[in-house]
Amino acid sequence: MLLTATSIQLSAQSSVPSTASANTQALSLPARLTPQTRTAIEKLADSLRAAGVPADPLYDKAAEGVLKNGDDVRILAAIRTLARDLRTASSLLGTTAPASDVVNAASALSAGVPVSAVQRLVKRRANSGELDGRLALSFIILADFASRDVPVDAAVKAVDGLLARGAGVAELTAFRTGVERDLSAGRDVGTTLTTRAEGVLRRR
Amino acid sequence: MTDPDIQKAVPSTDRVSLQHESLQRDSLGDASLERAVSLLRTDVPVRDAWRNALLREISESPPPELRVPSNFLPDVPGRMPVLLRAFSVQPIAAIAACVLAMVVGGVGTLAVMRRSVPVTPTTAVAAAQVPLVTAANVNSGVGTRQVIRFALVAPGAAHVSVVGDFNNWDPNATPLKTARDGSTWLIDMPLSAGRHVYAFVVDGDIVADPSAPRVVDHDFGVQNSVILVGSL
Repeated sequence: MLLTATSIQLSAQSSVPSTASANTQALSLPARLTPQTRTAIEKLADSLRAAGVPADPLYDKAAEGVLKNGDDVRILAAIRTLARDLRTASSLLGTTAPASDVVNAASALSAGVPVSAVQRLVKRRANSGELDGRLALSFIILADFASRDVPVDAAVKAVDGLLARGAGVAELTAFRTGVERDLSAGRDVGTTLTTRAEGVLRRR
Repeated sequence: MTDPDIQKAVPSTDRVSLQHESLQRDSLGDASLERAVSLLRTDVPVRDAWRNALLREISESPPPELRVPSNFLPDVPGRMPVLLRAFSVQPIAAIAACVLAMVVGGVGTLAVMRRSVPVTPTTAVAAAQVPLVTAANVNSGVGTRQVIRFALVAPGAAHVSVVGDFNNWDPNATPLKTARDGSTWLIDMPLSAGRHVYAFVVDGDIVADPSAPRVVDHDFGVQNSVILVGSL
């Protein structure tokens, strides 16, 4: 079967307030899971909520695991790992951080970004004052790069360098788009990270 | 046709005779030679009666006898004649030849199969745009939704849906509808700003978007696609 797909962003048509998990419907665990697994997941979710950590991603992960025919053991292991990343992200960002920031930071951790790198970016926020959306955007960029086999250390260095030199959201976005383009063209990853970061700052 | 018969059919006045030219070799000079050549080049007059007699003789003669070798297969319409030849092979040589043919055939078949099996049945015709979230969306955690069009060309598919972290990976939550061409499946749906992981479900099979960046799923081993939603 020939499959051809594309996902296209249409113009923003609504301004319905939403959070990162607001797209999800009423969260519930798949019926296929055994009662023991469901109980274990619910306990994990409750403990996260009690600590002020967003727990919705656990339900998404359970549903994804069931859809992909993962067995209960595998699903529970994935959920425990995700709960750990959420808890770590929350502890790094602080209890006052928005849920979406915590989820984005946890995604970066799950993708392979080391705790030290997240910590480094969070510390920069503390030193630079409020970073607006740049911190969460940095997590998204790093998660995206890490999941696509971009060397994490080099990516963290480039993003942190941009933040250190006051790059804004538009510049971070231009950086990511440029790297994306270069990766698609098969260019050397290490080189493109450096040249794109320098190019973005040069245009300021 | 015998010589007297020819003499009967062809009048004596028409017979070509070189006797009067005295073409004895010892007496030929240049002039005589040229005359002889000129005479030989002239058309020999042939009367219709003579030609008809010759053609009648040919038509009434029996066809030449066809000598067919004993190993020649009888002529069958639509088949090339085949001349059979007898060979004799030692049994051990025949076995070796069979083994060699099996090995060569097997290796050849494997090579062809490896080359002909497609790695992936998907083909992308358009690259997905992967923009990023806006600062306001990210910072506040309360952002605007953006309408995203998911499209998949799946000829022959009976049911296509999109699943992801935006619909709790529910294959029944977001079914796509076929376009006019009957093979393109579409849906527009609002997504919150941020990074979303998703996939298509085509007749029960999970299929990553062939035109979007993919991420390896270390948890369950099935690739997802990723889209970064937002406008700048």
